[in-house]
Amino acid sequence: MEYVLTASSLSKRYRDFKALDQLDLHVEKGAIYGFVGKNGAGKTTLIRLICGLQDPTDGEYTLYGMKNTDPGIVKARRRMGAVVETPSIYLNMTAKENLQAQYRILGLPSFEGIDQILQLVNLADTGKKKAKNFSLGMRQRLGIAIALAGSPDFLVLDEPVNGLDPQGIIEIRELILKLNREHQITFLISSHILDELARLATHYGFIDNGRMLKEISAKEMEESCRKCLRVEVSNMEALARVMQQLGAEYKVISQTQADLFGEHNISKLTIALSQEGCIVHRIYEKDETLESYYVNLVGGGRHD
Amino acid sequence: MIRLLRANMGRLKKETAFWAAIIFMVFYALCVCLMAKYSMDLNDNSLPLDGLFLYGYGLTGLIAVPGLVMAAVCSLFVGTEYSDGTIRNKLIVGHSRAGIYLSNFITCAAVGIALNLSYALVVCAVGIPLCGWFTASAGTILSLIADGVLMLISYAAIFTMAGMLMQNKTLASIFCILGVVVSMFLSFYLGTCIAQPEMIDTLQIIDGEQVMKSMPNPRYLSQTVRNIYQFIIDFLPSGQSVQISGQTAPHLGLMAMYSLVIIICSNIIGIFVFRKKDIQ
Repeated sequence: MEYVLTASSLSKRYRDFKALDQLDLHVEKGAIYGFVGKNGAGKTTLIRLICGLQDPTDGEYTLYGMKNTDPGIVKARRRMGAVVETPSIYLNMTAKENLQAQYRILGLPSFEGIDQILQLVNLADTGKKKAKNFSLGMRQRLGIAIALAGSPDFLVLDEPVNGLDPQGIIEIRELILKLNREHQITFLISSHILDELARLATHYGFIDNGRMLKEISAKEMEESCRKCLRVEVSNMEALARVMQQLGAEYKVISQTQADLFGEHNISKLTIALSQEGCIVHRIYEKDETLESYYVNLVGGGRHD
Repeated sequence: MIRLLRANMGRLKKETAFWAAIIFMVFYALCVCLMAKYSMDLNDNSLPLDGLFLYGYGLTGLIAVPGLVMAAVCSLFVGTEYSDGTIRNKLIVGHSRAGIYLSNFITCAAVGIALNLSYALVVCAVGIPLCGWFTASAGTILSLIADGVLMLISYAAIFTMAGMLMQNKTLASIFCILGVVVSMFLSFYLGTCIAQPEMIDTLQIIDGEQVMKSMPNPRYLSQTVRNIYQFIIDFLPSGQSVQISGQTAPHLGLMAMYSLVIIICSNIIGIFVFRKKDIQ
């Protein structure tokens, strides 16, 4: 497995406050990694660390295999772009001038490619309009355009759809998907807007109180969140026999609980179980979303 | 760092505050020339170009004009990196913190020199036909210019340090401008104290007759205090500004050395703290 970014026991402390606490993270090449957590969970802190804006108190991270303590990390950073919190743009400049400024910072020999980037982020027709007069969505797209200057392989976006209107959200989503599919750019996206993240992410990392609760791929998540019937019965062996007779897929959760996958005729099922001497206490449809998964995870973490 | 300098210069060209400062210096130079012409016509004499030229480093030994203008432009220029968040773009793509700091310092120094050049060009273009050539020796004028330029660069070093370490554009601007004003008045006050004569004439009435009598000035400073006051004026960029423009600088060599000390120390301290700084 090739990783763009890994973090191991990464910690960041601000005086007495632990913003990150022994955090581990693995971002695969080509992934759209959704970094999920509530406000203050430590998402932006991690992004600040990997962008070199702050130094970790403890632990380490690698970017393209280069450790953060290695001087070569500077070169590895040239392969990444980022929009941290608010877009980093000169407000008294136009979109084109902002990109020209970034091209100079990167030391690119010419301004070739600026028009294509502006077209990609749908800002080609902004002309002489200064960035201070842009809408929030336009600023966000300009921030992404600047991050795209220098053709990075890895983009880090901190709350990219925060405060955007529905149209802006759709535009950013389509842009991210396009960049990932057509330009093979790996993304690390932090967000607490879970519905939106669920439409994009190929991998998830759930963070709470500075600790990584779980890393999971979207596929694994889909499997664990598969639509099913959750049944509570008096006799699990009887349930297993009936399910085997029906040739249906099921998963035993506990001595009394099981998840039944696929379509089932509930009347026939309860009659069959009754004939086996098994009482059905409860039966309900279970359709776990990213949100409920997260809530369960965070809630479970708290009770541990 | 060349890339960062190119980026900074590109930005400077579009910086409204910078162009406003250049226009102000041109206007200031024209006003100085007009005032000189008015004074010459009124008193029917001629003024040397030296004074007019040196007003580029301060007004009549009183106001540190370039310091005030540079404080506004440099703190705004450096502060914008934080207020617009664009300093992150430089760090994210792998530029070193020392490189970012030094490129900002060099840009601020260039601002000071550009402001001084714009003043000097206008004063020479208008002042030479009015007043003729310099009366002081070329060596003296060049020493004063070298001191003046070093003073401007030392201002740049201080303003860069303030802007880079404060992260708040407004706070940095207020700090820089207030710093110049306070140091300017302090230098003027200390200069006035040093200028006190050792003896003063007092009018006394003895046996009903008025008698002029010399007596020691109670405000006359002891040699130690005098040295300390002179050191402060020589050391502070605003003090240098006041002395150069007032043509009252007794220690040109020392002033140049103090400017170099300020430039080196400010940059070393600034880079050291900036490297440890958490950027938001």
